[in-house]
Amino acid sequence: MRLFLFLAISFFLIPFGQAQENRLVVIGDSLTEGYGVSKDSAFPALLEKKIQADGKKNWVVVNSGITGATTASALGRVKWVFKSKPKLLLLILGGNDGLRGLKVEESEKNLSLAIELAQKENVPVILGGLYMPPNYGKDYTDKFKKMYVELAKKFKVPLIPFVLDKVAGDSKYNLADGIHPNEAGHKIIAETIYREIKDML
Amino acid sequence: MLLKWVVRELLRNWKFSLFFIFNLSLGLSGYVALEGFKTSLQEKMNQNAKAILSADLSISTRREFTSEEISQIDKIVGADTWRSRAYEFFAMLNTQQGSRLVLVRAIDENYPIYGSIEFASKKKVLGSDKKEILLSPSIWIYSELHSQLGLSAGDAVQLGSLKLTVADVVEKDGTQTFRAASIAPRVFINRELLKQSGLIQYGSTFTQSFFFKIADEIVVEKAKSQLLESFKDPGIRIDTSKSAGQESGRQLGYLQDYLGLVAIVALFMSSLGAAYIFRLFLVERMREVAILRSLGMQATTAVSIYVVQVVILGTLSLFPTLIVAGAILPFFSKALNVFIPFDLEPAVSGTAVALALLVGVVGSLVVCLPFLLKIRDLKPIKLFSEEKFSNEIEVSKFWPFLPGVFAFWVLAMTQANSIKIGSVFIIGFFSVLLVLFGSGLVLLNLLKFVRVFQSWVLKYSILGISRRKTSSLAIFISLGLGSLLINILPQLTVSLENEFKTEETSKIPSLFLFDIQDDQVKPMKDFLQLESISSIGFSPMIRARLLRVNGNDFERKLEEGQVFRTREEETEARFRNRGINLSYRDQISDSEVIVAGRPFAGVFNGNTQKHAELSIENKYADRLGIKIGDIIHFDVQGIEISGQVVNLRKVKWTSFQPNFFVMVQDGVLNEAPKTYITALPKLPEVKKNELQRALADKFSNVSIVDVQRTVDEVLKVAKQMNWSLELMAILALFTGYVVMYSIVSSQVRLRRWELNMLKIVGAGFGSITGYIVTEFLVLALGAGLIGSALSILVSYGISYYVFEGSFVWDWFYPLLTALGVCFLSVVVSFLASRRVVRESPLVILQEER
Repeated sequence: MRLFLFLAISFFLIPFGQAQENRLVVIGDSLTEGYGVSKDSAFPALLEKKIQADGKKNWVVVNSGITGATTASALGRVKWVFKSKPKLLLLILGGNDGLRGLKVEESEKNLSLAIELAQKENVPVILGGLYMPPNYGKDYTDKFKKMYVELAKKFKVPLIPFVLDKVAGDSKYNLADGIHPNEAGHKIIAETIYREIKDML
Repeated sequence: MLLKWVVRELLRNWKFSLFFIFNLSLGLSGYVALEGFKTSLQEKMNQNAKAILSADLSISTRREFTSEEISQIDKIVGADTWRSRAYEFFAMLNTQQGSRLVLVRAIDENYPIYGSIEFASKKKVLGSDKKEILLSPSIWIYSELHSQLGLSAGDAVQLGSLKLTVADVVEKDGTQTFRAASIAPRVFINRELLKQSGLIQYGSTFTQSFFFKIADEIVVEKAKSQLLESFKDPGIRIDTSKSAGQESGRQLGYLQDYLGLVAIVALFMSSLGAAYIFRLFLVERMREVAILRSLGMQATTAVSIYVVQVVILGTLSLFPTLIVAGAILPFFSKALNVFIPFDLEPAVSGTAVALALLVGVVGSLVVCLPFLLKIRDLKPIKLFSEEKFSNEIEVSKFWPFLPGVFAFWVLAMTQANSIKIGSVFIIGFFSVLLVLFGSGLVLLNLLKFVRVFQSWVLKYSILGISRRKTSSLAIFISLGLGSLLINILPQLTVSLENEFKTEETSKIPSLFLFDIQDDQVKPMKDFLQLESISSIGFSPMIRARLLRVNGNDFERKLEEGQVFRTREEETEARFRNRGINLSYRDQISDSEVIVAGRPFAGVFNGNTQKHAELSIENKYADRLGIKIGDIIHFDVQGIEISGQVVNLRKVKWTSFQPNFFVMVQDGVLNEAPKTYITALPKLPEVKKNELQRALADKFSNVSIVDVQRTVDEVLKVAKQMNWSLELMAILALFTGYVVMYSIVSSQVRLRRWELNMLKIVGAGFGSITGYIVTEFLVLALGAGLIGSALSILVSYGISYYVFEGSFVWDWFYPLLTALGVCFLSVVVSFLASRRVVRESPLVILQEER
């Protein structure tokens, strides 16, 4: 038995023992992983605290962020996390596709496949939208922004228009690289997301 | 009065004075030449570092500088300092063939501060030149855009709102040296057009940099520390060409350390030569001192006479040294530059001259302190004894050597610019001295029992060696130390050349492919097979967070209301919190070597193992304070994995093979969500471009990094380094033999009186030659072999402590050295015996008294 598989299956089986536990899985990239900040300071951990502080003690938030991940990983990762039978899936991918200048059509296709699978498995999906920095040019940034809107419309899923609202571009809320949020930035992101999803919990 | 006496003495013994000056200047010339080449190589490396940074000082940030920050920069660096300001950012370049991600560098009229940009049109642009892109709305593009999108000079492109014309295609970008390769080719535009482009506005991600040209290194370092003091924001990055050079890799660091060692070896060689010549000088003057003392001269006056003589002769030796270095060095380097791939202009530096003077005069006085004290304590009664004056030092009086040891330790550290290297060398050197002393004593005692020779010459010679213990030991130790010093640099060269050795062509990558998904591995392999390309392995990459080391939290958490106090504290926290890529493979790659611990014990076995086995890159382990046996906990996608460190690896990053800081035992992470990274070997340019297009079509998510330019640069520098090592090794051998010549000559000269006596009692040329040659051959063979063997141990020690264990055994140089020392001893002693036979016995008796 491979160790990771064993641990993973044990981990995923926990919900069966504690039937009341609801899992919100956040599939994302470095933004979700909390690049540069501690695990407890990344927005998924803060989001869990918020949810539980609101009396919803049976909800846990799983951070499935991988730095550098693109939408190409979405389908495979959704398949993997579904072994843990999540109640809700928050999909915040696409940032790296944009930063690497990948074709928006390809990113859209990848996200579609992931949402389709989730809907087939009856797991509600919330889509986290991202914007590209203006230096990528108006054409590309507009197309990229539109992608999330169209996906949300097509699959009738809730959309958080811009996960980095009030964070992006402000050096007060970002690390020195100007891309990744710092501790204060993650707090705002957790607020933004919680506002959008609290009625779904 | 004293000076008059000294000058009269020197003139009276003019033959000896000339011999002294000749031999000492030979040793010092070697030192100055090695120093000259070393300094020239270092200068070359500094130039490389300046090209890497394109400046002497750069200040950059990923946002706009505030007006206060700019005023502060002006205040510290000087508002008039020659500067260039540039922006760099990713953007989409729109062409008729489609759009493509590019890395834009927006420059001004002073760019580049250092280095040049060469174009397909054969034009070459320097910082001071007029630039076409600043005169009209145009753009310079990297050649990848020409080959992949078919863009050429004159074509129209769009960047943001800017409509630009391709002015030229960049063939060689001297400002990109060594910097990490990018996922996108670079283009250059006029900085003034940025506003019009609409690309830089609120929310844009870019780097803004100031590049400064400041000739004085001290001013640069001072400005850097003032800037660091002024700007607490870790987002403001301050680099100097020195720090950029240091970041460029371990190999440059190795070369710096190696050159430091060259300086120490050169210093020790010349000091060794000088010390033996001074020793000869003082031994020859013992009788005169005794006479003066018996006539009532004060001990201090007697010592002063010889100290002044030493100072005068030492200073005079500097003139031939400077003539040799000033006249011969340029010719020598000109001849060398024909063979080596870069120009070296070794010059005699002021420091080298000062140090030569220090070694030639002060250093030798320190070395000769025990002998000077002996002059002070000399009993005039000795004058009436039959024997020649002994130069023996009593064991209890070894304390006068201590200032010498200390002085050399300090000199070694300053010469090497490193406490570590200087100390390792000194410890090694004096350990070897002790071993040579011990093994010399053993050899001399053993020779007492050698009675197999029928010929009286051989018998007398061999027994004579053990009878004149002090003199024989002096020769033995000098030859042994000489062999050691001669051999260290070539021996280290062999080891370091292995470090700088580049991979086989099939293993040097030109393209890196990353973000390959699990289900894309097979199709990708099939695709590459169809294209007849063998990839340089597929490495899995699993993202993880390092949570705890031995139960202690690894991450740096910022509590509510807490802020980072210093930029260092914040940088360290960000480093610890940024996660890590783990990987696994069944065996270590060619580009890594285990430097401590044991290899993995096969595939993970959950029944017998509590923790997975971990292998950590040694520098990474150093930085994090991780040791073998430590237990580390990781978070892999919400699942906690524990591992125990079983080995530390040294990774040759410049091999460009996919490598990782942390490797986990096979069978642990195989099922975890992961991506793959692979590299493709060097391909013909056309094939490479076709392949990139095909890969982009078939695997659109896979990002491709063209590392060809970076690899070519690194290979070029590696070649230069190899040449530098070879050159230094050959120079060290050459200098070593010159110094050895002066040592053997001085030692043989001490035996003139004895050889003359043999001649007086009727020994012929054959007997005298046989006698002295046998003696020197036996001592040289013993000392050469032991010294060379010890040099292997010392080189191993240096490799272990300084070059992180990159040691390669080599027998060629030690054997060459041992034989070379024997040959030299035989030739010099043969020539000396011939001279004695030719000279009148009376003259020698008068001279030697």
